[in-house]
Amino acid sequence: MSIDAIAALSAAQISATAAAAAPQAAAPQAAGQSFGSMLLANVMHADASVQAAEQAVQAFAVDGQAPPHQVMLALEEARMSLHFALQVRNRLVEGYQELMRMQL
Amino acid sequence: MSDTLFAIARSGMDVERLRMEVIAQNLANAGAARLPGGEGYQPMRLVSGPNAVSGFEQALGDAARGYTVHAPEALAGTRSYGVQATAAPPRIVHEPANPLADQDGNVAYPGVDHAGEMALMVQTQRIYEANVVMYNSARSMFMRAMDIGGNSP
Repeated sequence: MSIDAIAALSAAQISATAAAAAPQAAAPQAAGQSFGSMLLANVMHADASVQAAEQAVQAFAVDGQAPPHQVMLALEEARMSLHFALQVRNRLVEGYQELMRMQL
Repeated sequence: MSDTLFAIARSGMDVERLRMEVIAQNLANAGAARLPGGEGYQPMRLVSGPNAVSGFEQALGDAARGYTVHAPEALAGTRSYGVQATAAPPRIVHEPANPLADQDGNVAYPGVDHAGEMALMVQTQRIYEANVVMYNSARSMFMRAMDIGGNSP
């Protein structure tokens, strides 16, 4: 396994990461622009699916015309997107903490 | 989730629910006698088939999924093409006392095949259940994928 991705990080970026208080917020910023935008797009996707599930539940509660499986599928989709985003965040925080534990 | 598995299972559930609605419509109208000279209810069938995608779209999707060999059938689920009236002839019953009877005392009922409708209902229900199981299986695969590399030292 190569560590080019870590080596590519400039010293300034690493110090900026260390200076940031919240590791969750800092980790995506330090990871570079393209990866950060990709991550943001996926977070937006998760948010959109949560909103879609909310709308489906609201429609179901108001008139009850929507087929139940569509409501349940929207809910499950939201749960899975959120779970996925949470797992990606966990991996990022783990990587960040690994870097912080590094003996320099 | 834009995953193919979920989309396919979802399309199957949508179509089978629609088929069940058509069966319910047939059974609900089974006893509706036809007015003399009027249009009666004709039993309906849902026509469904594979969700066809164009050759270019399929090739693009195959390339995106990393298939080197062309998939025999586009993995795009199923869809309903529409509801079509069957050619079943009306069921003529001799009921002179019925106010809807014609001069000969016959009443025309829709030619709903009760046994066929019930068999199709059971089949539709089983396919729907199979799609739900499929969805749950795909979901547990997805959740398993979340465990990759978890709690690594």
